[in-house]
Amino acid sequence: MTASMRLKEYSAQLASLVLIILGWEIAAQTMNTNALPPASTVFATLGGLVADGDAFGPLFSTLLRTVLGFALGFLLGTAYGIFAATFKTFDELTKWLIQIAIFTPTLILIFLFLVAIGRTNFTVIILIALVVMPMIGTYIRDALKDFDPDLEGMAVSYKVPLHQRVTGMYLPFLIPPMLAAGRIGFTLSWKVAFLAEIFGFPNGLGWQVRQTYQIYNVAGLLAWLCLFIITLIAIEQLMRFVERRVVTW
Amino acid sequence: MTVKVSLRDLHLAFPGRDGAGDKVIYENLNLDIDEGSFTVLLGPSGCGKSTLLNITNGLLKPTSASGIIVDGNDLRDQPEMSRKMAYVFQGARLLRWKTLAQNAEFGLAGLNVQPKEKWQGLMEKYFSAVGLKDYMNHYPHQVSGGMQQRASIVRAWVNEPEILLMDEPFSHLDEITAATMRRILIDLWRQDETRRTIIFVTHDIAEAAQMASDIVMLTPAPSSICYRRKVDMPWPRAMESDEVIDLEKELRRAFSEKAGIRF
Ligand SMILES: Nc1ncnc2c1ncn2[C@@H]1O[C@H](COP(=O)(O)OP(=O)(O)OP(=O)(O)O)[C@@H](O)[C@H]1O
Ligand SMILES: [Mg+2]
Repeated sequence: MTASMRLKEYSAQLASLVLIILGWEIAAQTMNTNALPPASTVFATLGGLVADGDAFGPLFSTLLRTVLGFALGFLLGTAYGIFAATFKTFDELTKWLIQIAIFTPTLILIFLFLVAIGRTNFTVIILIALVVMPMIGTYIRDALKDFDPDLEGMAVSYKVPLHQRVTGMYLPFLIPPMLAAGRIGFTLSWKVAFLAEIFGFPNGLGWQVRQTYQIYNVAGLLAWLCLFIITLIAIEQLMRFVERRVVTW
Repeated sequence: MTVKVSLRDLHLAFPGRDGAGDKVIYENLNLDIDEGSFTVLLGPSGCGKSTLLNITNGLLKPTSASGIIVDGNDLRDQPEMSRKMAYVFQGARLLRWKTLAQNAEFGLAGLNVQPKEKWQGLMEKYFSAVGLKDYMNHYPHQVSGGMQQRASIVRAWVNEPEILLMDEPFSHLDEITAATMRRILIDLWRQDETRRTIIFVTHDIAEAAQMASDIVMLTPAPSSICYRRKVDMPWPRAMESDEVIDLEKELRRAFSEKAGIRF
């Protein structure tokens, strides 16, 4: 993609964001209800949070839990996917366990874990890993099913040693699905961290939202939500940037 | 003449599907391929030509065989014998995340062609030969299907193997490019001081007549050799020359008489 094409793409995306905020502002002005404060008020609140430095503590707590939980879930999920695609029996043995994990509502898991392990950082990290791992695992497993066995035959015919097959063939094949699964998985991790905080943590973004909610401070609630979304957008962009760097073909 | 590759008493059957009986591909097939020959395996679709190359390359184990001999050694006891070969597959089988040159290098590294310093020169020589010098650093999706096929030919040739296995390498090319590629292949093969053994699969009678020093004709499966002849005609052979056309006629006649295929 050329720079000018990318610029065009970005301007379109930026325009859509501006439109969303504009629509919000107009809706808030016409409806004039406490349930939807105007964008300007919310962003002013957010600005205040950032200026006072109050935004960073909760953001950092949530981010740390998310990153650690996601990293663990991603590693386990990728390992599971590779194993399940390689060993049929392992796949059959674990298939339903993984499906059950995917089907179980996240909230139930959160309750169960908070009750069983208690309110520790460790609980949230394990929880995130548990939610993310099956999703990444099945994604990688299914992506590997598309691997062309003819390529394997080619590598065997040319006597390519295992380590070069891994670095030159399997890994490059896996990188795009790993990045895609990673993006979805990271968003999922955020949401789990957020929910877990709402239900049982005295810190983090989720906790802040809960507090503002309890005193009916909708502008405050939306300000925290905006912080959450802005951070997600930034991380998503970062991931896409990395993807473009790594996947050059 | 020395025999380079010899298949002895080859049997192969694939298990039948849904309770059908086994599908027999070869029953007691014997085939000797002379060193330095340009042997063309000619046969109808589905008769087991690709399968024969796979067995020769050690990629597929036959149901039984008393010998799969390369340079006097049985491939099953000495798998490293297959390092003498490079295989041009029926499809291009390129890695889409590697450039054409990197794809060729993947093969060079696998077959461990030494010294490594030679690689760049080898690649330039063969990519130039097939008219892809300017596309070496392109990814497969950036070039046409025919160019991908030619790149896969280079991946085999750069190894300068003693034995080249080529499975319908030109059948996906347009007739004009195919004609050029046939001429290039023959030239490269004849210029080499150590003449390589080429086992070339095709179902194209004209192509066989134009290129082969030795023609092996196969019947539909269960496949057997129904006709075989050496061709003592100098290259380059003009497609429209009387000798080539007579040979084509002879091959068609052999197909209808020996394999029951009518044209
Ligand atoms: N793995 C397999 N399992 C079952 N049957 C197979 C397998 N591979 C090949 N066959 C069968 O063996 C026969 C020979 O296949 P092969 O690919 O060697 O044919 P071919 O002569 O190369 O044909 P074409 O000219 O169309 O490429 C076919 O009938 C095919 O259905
Ligand atoms: Mg074939």
